[in-house]
Amino acid sequence: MTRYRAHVGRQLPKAVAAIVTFGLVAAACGGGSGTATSTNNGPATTQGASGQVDESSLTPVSGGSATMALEADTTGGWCLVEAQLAAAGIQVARAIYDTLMVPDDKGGYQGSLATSVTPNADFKTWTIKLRSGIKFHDGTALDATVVKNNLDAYRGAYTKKKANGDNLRNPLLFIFVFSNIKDVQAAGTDTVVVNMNKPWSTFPSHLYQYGRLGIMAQAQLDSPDHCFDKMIGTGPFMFNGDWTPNNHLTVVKNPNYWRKDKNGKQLPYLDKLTFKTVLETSSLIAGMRSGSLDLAVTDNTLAIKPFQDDAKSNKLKILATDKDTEINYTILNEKTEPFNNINARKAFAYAFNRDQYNVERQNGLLQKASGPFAPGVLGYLPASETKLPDYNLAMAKTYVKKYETETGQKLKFQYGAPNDSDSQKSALVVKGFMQAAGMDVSVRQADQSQYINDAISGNFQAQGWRNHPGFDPDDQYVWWHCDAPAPATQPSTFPAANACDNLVNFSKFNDAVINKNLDDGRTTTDPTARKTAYENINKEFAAQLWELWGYYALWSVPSSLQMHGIANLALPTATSVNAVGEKPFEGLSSGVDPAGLWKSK
Amino acid sequence: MWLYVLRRLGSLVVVTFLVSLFSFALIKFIPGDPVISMVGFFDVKRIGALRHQLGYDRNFWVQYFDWLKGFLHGDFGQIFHGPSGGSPAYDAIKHALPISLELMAFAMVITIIVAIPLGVLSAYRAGTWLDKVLSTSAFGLIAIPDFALGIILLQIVAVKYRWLPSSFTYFGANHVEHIKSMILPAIALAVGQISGYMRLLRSDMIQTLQEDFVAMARAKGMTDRRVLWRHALRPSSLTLLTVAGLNIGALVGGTVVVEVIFQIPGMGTEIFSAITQRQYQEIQSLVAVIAIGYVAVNIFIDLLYTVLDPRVRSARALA
Repeated sequence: MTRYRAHVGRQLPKAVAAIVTFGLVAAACGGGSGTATSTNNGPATTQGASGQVDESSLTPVSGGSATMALEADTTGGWCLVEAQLAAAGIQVARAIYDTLMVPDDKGGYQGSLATSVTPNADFKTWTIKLRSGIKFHDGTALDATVVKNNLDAYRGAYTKKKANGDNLRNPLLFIFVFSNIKDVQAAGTDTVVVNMNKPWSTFPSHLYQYGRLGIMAQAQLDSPDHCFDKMIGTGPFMFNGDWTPNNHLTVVKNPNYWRKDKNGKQLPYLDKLTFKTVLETSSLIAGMRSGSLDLAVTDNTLAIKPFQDDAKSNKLKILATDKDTEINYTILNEKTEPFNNINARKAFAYAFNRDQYNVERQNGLLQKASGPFAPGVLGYLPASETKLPDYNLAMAKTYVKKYETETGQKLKFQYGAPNDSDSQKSALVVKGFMQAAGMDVSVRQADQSQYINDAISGNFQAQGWRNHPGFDPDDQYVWWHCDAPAPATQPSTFPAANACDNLVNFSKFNDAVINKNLDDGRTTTDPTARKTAYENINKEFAAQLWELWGYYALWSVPSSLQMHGIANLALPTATSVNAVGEKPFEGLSSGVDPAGLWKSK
Repeated sequence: MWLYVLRRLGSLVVVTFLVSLFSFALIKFIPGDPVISMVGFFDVKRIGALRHQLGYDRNFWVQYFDWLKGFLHGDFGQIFHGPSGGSPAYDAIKHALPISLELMAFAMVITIIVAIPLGVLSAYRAGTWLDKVLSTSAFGLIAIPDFALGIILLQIVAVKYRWLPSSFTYFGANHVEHIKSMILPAIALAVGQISGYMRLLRSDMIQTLQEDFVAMARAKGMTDRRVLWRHALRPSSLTLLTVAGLNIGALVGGTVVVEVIFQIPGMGTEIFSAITQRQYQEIQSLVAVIAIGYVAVNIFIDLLYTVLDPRVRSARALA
């Protein structure tokens, strides 16, 4: 039975809801070159991965079924080129589709459907070699033509039309992400050539896109009315038509899946995997504790805490990490008052008591962010090096006065928050911080879609947000880079005339240092040069306070004691489909690899 | 009699029209833009085109009557999925309605099985310690919201003792598990109703037991059991019947929360998600279906009076 609905995006039923995950956010992921690049960055983590169990002595068992809880209904289906997939949707996509590249645990990218992605000397032409013998769930072959068509569809260059003359596919953010692609050519059956407008050294990492850039079968790609609900991929599981939105989606084992485990055993292990939408925190906790759920992927701190307690008493397991994760933060509108003035931004930064907020609204589970890059991400620096201002009420009051003296106006603004009760509670806490420093703040409620629309249209002054997940920092080019001329040095009041021309740079800052270093970071593969570039960006953000970084999002996978193979299946190599390659990416914000899941009797 | 039925059916049409009109107006006040939700934020031209295509740029009345016309022809509108297309709201309602009806039926059965004997017993033992215990318990249970009770039951019955599952199983997947999965949510819905029905029946029954015909029956040597169940219960149950009809609304309201807690893909979950996703046409149709159901049940109960109470029958015959 298949039923469907559109979805605004991820539903956020908890405190973190103040910080919206834009369904499309994080679509830009960067990284090393086609072959594995290793960039192990800084201190591993502030909180790091905890709960990973050594299962090397266990022998995986094939068969059985599992139920995985997802904390939100998915968006309007999985027509990947135009889908708005949040974390829950990506987890489902990872079961049905494969991407050309996948991230490893060292910050590099390994071939998945591709065996290699190699550049020419100036990084303006990339050649993708496809793995041979792979078939989609409908029996058609993965070849260069279907990959080219997918890539064209992602970048908005797929020329097929509907009967009424409209474009068959209508991608959203990927148009921005792939705007540097000049053309895509199929060269033979297993080779795709991608030409760029400008050098792009980190292109292979963009072939993962946070797990969103799966390759669809031609039949799905060309379906005018059912691209979103007739999912056909090459992934470990096949969609069998059992999808009841707001309740569950079931996938069954792909018996012809191309990957095998390290011993050559066919993957996936499970015969069936059911994704269950569980909106309520209490239902999630009860489901895990009662055994009706086998595992879950969640960043809900209200649920993580009791799961951690259960794990301590050996009732279940929990893998949790804030490594390579997103940042919870406040976006400020620098195009208008008051946050076009650096004194207002400093006042906000010093007034925000992140420790207290964490205790009051996040169960005390989150770690304070030192910049836009989480631990493990290239460019990460500890707070001692970024010098990001932290709570200091006296300093906050000083900057409020400075602002008022300089502008002759009271420091007054609206703080935006989604209109669910948890977000409103969080906003009131923030309001209290600001008022204590002498600012005049009102809370502005908005429906989630309107909330995002406000950010894009610049109709806000300050609002909670979440974005910039791990992977490679070139990921962030699409969000921060501006082509319009930036001021040579930043004056205390940012000139509106220099506002960023990038639609998805929501704050509209335009910073020459950031622009230059973003360009530097994507035109070289020299690890040292790239590290320097992104550290410079990190420091510049802390100096200018274009965004006010809050916390590293904490993702977790609680599971029953019978569930195994969570986030520990090694990757294939260019020459072997067996799991004998690099270890998988450690971040959990795009879920886990379902191919490796198995259940003991 | 037939005139009465026709009159009641006429009221069904009027009520449905007013409810659907009111809800349509209300939906328009929900903040946010469904078109932006569908296509994203970047292409103003496409947003405008889709808004036009869906008719959201038309006059309120044109939109409303367009929907109404479709609804009367069995077209419940579309659920939109963004650029990728849409699906009929009818399919969603067809899938969700039986599940909710089943849940409500379960709740009603539990309510009747528990409330009637307790109400009769309480009336029969009026003023005794048993009556006081039952009355006090009923007050206490009324005070517990069904969603809170649902969570408590979930924690104790499903989590701690694992006697029953914490989430829904389809009938087709496993018959026994399906029945088991409906028990906790049905109890969560039923408990508040039980208390109300029991209290109501108790007070009606106490009055009835003071009637002359009851004294006559007793004088004839009938056993207490026969007097209570054969003679006193029927006239005492008329108010109960009225309240049962009116309580359908409360039951529907309860299912919204209970279904979300127990992950039941019924009308409650459907309404919840349709509102959060601003599926205008689906919300309209859901509300209309519920309104029709509500009015129809109450008409049915009205008609049932004539069967149960000869006084009503003769009064309507005279009218």
